[in-house]
Amino acid sequence: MSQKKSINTLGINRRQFLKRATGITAGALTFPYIVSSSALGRDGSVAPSNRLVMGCIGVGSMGSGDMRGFLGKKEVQVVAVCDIDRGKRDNAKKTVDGRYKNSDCKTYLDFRDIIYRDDIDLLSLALPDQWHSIPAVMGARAGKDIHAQKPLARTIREGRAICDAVKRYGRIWQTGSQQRSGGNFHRACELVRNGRIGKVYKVEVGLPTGGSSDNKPVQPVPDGVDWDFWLGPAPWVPYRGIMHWNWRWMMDYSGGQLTDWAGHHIDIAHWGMDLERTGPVEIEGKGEYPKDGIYDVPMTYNFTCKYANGIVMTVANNKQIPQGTKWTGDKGWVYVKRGKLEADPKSVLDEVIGPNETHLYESRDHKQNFLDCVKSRKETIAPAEIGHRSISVGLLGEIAMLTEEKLKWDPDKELFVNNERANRYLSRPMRSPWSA
Amino acid sequence: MEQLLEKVKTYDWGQSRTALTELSELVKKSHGNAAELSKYEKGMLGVLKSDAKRAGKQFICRQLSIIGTERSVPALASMLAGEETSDMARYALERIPGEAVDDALRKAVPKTKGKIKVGIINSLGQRGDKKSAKALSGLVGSSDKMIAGAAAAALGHIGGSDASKALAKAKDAAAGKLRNIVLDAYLKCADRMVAGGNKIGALSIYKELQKKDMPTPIRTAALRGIVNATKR
Repeated sequence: MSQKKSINTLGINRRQFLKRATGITAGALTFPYIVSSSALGRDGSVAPSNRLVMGCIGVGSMGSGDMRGFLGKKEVQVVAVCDIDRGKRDNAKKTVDGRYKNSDCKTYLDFRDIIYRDDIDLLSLALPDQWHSIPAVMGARAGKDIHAQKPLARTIREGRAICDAVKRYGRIWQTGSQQRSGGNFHRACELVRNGRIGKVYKVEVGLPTGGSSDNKPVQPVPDGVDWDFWLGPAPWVPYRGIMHWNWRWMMDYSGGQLTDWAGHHIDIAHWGMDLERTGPVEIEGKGEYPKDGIYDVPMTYNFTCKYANGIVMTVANNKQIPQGTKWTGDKGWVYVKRGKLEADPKSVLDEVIGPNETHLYESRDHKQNFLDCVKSRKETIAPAEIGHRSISVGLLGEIAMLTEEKLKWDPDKELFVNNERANRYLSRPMRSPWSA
Repeated sequence: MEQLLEKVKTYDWGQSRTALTELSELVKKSHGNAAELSKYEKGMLGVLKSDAKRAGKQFICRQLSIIGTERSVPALASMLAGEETSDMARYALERIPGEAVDDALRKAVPKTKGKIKVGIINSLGQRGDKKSAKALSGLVGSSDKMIAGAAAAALGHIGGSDASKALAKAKDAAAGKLRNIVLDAYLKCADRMVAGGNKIGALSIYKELQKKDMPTPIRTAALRGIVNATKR
């Protein structure tokens, strides 16, 4: 069969193509299908039958932002939206229908109804953290390619379950750690990777400060909200008005700013250190937790991770360490955050990375990178394994602060060494009937 | 400690939780002190046996999930059948090591139904309890699809010959969403075989799952399994 035949000349459509494409990396197996330029969107005219069909699960603040991002991509057709809040669902449908000038977008309360739709190729997941693993694993099992918001998962075991499912089913995955597609972060990591500050021995990561000791009374569930479904695998508690944002300050659903932002600046720190697919070997730290009120995530935090190569990384909230990532080596330092790239000596910033040096994966548009990889079946700039290892550092820090112990971690086995108490924190029993 | 435990007994959601924070701090500070922890565990079991509110009992179960020992098993096991207490009891039990927990969960399976039974099956799966494989095999054919799906998924986590035999049989009978769960679990059994060195057994499963009547994602995964298993 000719390698140059297009989807159409083979008599198969976009969906059949994607179902046949396994995601096995180049060199392992080759599938004899080439995507037409029309399906790639290169000629500016993607027929609806050749568009990548997407369902959006979770269309609150982050989810609706992601959905709008994909609606702006001509090769994507959003056909379904899901949320446990009727108001969010209806708003999302209105946005989608407005974009396509029809009323075709279907709304769902139960994400499984989207996952089991055979006509959907892609999922956009943007849910509270306790919900990250279940639809991700189910979606991979159903053969969907997935863009999902960070952090990858609420626990290390759930993160591993996502990685395993994505690998097992050969799916394309992109974590929403979009800083990787930002020019200054890429540049900073390339400078560090290519030794422009010498041998790195210290990394400092500053993340936002958050959390509070506010209280909220038990109150009636708002009309149109399925609270039990929102809780999902988390322990049952009555409604206390923490949707759609303040859930982030409660450990049942999040680790606060630490786990929200670990997927950004720790992710970048790992990228620069070339430690994206492993983790530290020692962790210790301390957090300050509210003693009363509804919220229980640390209001301040500071922990240190030691890696097998001797690098020590300190992670703290931005009242203790300036927000962003700073690598220090024996010849200087590089500091990067959104909108800022600094170095000492300053001349480091003028350095040119030569053709025979390390050139990191380049993406200038995060969502486009996901779509391109769906078509090429190449790994995205933010695959599941890397997202997992980034958030694992945040989760390890959380456990170190909860136990107040110096913990030894085996990043290959993903187990604490000789610490049965700390190992209990690696997973969370889920409320029935949920399981990842 | 006694005073704090008394406050936990009357605690409800929305009220001040300072007593709860104080108690958890005491427990944290007692790490490594077996005698102290044993005292706390005993006191906490007293709260579970009292008429404490659901919120207080849930807090205790969270604590026991970290410090609980086999001593906690009888009290937690007695909560497994209760509609309001089953999930919180499993929250503790699932994390407590030891065969006594597995025994308690196994014994609770035939005594429960619906969502409660599903939760217990899920916990057995998470714990990888091989002794439950035979009992779970019988449940894969349950007319309650939620129970059948939970049993199949648990067998996938547990692996081994009993689990793979049951799933091999179930895959031909299962339909719809249940079939996906059964096939996924069967794949996991094969993946475990590869990890355990039984590549021949795994390849035989992958080949079954490569057949044309299998769903495309399963065929894809089976193909990847064959590639991995035949790697040198």
